[in-house]
Amino acid sequence: MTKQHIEFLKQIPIFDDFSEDQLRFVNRYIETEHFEPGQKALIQGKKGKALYMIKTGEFKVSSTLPGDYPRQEIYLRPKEFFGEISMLLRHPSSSTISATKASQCEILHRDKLNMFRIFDPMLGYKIEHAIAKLSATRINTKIQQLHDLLVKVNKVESYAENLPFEPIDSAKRKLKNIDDININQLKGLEILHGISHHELYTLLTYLEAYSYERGYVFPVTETSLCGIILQGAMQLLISYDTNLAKNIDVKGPGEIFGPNTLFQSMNHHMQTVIREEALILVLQPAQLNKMKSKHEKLWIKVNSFITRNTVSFFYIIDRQLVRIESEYSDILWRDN
Amino acid sequence: MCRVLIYLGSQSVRPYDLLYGPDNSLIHQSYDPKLMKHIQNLAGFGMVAWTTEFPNEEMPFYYKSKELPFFDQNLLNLSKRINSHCILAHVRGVDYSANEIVVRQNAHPFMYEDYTLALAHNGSIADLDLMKPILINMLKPEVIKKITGNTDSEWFYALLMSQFDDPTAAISLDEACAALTKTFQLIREIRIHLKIKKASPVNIFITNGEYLVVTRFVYNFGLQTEQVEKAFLEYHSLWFTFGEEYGCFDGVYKMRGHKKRANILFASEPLTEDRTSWVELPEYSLTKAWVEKGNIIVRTQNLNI
Repeated sequence: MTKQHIEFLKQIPIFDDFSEDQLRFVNRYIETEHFEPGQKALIQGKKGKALYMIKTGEFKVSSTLPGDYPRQEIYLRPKEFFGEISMLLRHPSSSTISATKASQCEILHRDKLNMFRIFDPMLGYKIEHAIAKLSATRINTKIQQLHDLLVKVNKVESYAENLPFEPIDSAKRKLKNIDDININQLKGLEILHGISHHELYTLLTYLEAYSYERGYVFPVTETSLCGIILQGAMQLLISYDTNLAKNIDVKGPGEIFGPNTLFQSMNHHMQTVIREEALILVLQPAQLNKMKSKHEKLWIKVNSFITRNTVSFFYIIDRQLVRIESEYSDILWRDN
Repeated sequence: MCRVLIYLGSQSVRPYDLLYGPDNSLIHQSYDPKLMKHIQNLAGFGMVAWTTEFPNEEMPFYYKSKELPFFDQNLLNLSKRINSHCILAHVRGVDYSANEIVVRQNAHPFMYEDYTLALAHNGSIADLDLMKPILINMLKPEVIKKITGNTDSEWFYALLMSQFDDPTAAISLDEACAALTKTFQLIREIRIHLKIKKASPVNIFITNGEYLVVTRFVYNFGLQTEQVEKAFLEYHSLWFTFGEEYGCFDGVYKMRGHKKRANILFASEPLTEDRTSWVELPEYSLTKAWVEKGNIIVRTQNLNI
């Protein structure tokens, strides 16, 4: 039976890079659940607690958008999975997912993932990273959908009022002395709560502190950076051309950003601008690699932040697509 | 600080169904806001509500009180007896300090007699006292005379009203948006002049009963000082939902029906526990909504101040 379970897990993309031993270990914590036709696994608006991998049967994904507008239903079949984003981020589910016939799922509960994070951090990280990687594919699709939506709307409505925040050519970034960073301020950041005092000092040896002036535009070459914002604000816009942009996200103190390498193909549709003068701790990709060889435990923790940030970006971009679709529904519905 | 809602629709609704009915109604948010845990909003309630059921329909019901709204029997009774197609309501939150002045005059919305626009504000403008000597020269004398409270929000309203040739006359949506943007710009210029860099959230809600304009905006968002309040480390929230019919269906208040976008509702936080039928407006934005052939049109633009 265990062998059969492991063979099933091998068919789930999340476990693509897992060794036989790792799969056997994970399998010990996976539970089987049966669903009757019509029974709901996830309810829109309620927080999900698990990753569901469909073994047999079929599930319907339905959701109601603002305006009571039903999103097109999709169906999930064996070897597909759901609930991973809600499980990882503790966000409310954006859909209701119910069995259309007698079905069976293999389930990994969030508390088990939390247990992996403590007792086998690399295993926990591998699951999170796999979810982030799969999310990135879907982020690319969403960004393309957003772009196509703007193109469509632009044909019937002027975007003169949606100019992006004016980049300031003279805006610069300056390297600051890392020793001047207020360590107490860092300790207070919620995202660093899982990092010990000692690890925090180690982390600082890998970071560079930069001040950014208002209006600074991040060049595409810097999309592989990631960092922690200590002060100020950074704005992400989806742009159709130089005269049209929609605000997608603003990040402020205590939030991390990047790297956008997982959805690099879509970077030409996006623009990152410093909206308010900022102080940012930057982690260069080379430093991250160095950390992996010297301080693996810390590397796992930092990467865990990064992967969760990537997955949360999927949630953000999905909601922004809903928002922009809602705004222009009078045009989009008219054209249909 | 503060919680606000604004409703515009082809359908007239009872204020009760926004103020008291939903599980996270505005009155509920006065003592237990879900997205702002550090403070309650107990320093005054106010509402303007337009209705076509009574004479002088261009004049809204205008109710303000420093009483705690959940103990206010008059408000409860009134909210069940009128129907309105446009409602702007506000609960005021201030620091727990004896320096705060809790009086009726400081309750929002602000709408001077015979003026056509009402305004409510969620946020605060830092260092207003430093700004006042400059601001006073930007206000029209007839507007200055009408200031009765001491809030930053009323000064913002007075500055906005000073941008119009005649604030008692009909003001078009475009004029309102242009004046509001100009007001934001003027405040920004004064802050730069005085080197004020404290974060100042300015979520503004204005309406004349026929259209509405809301902003989600923070000056110098993310700037931290030793005195910074936790609330200012997060961007002040603003959400909206819309639909064909608003009401209580299967025990839950929501918008129902999608064939027509007849009604729209903006609020500092969703009025229901389930937030998936609500959308958060973007930061640094101005959103306007109006009725066209029975449908609500809504457009959001970047507020590049």
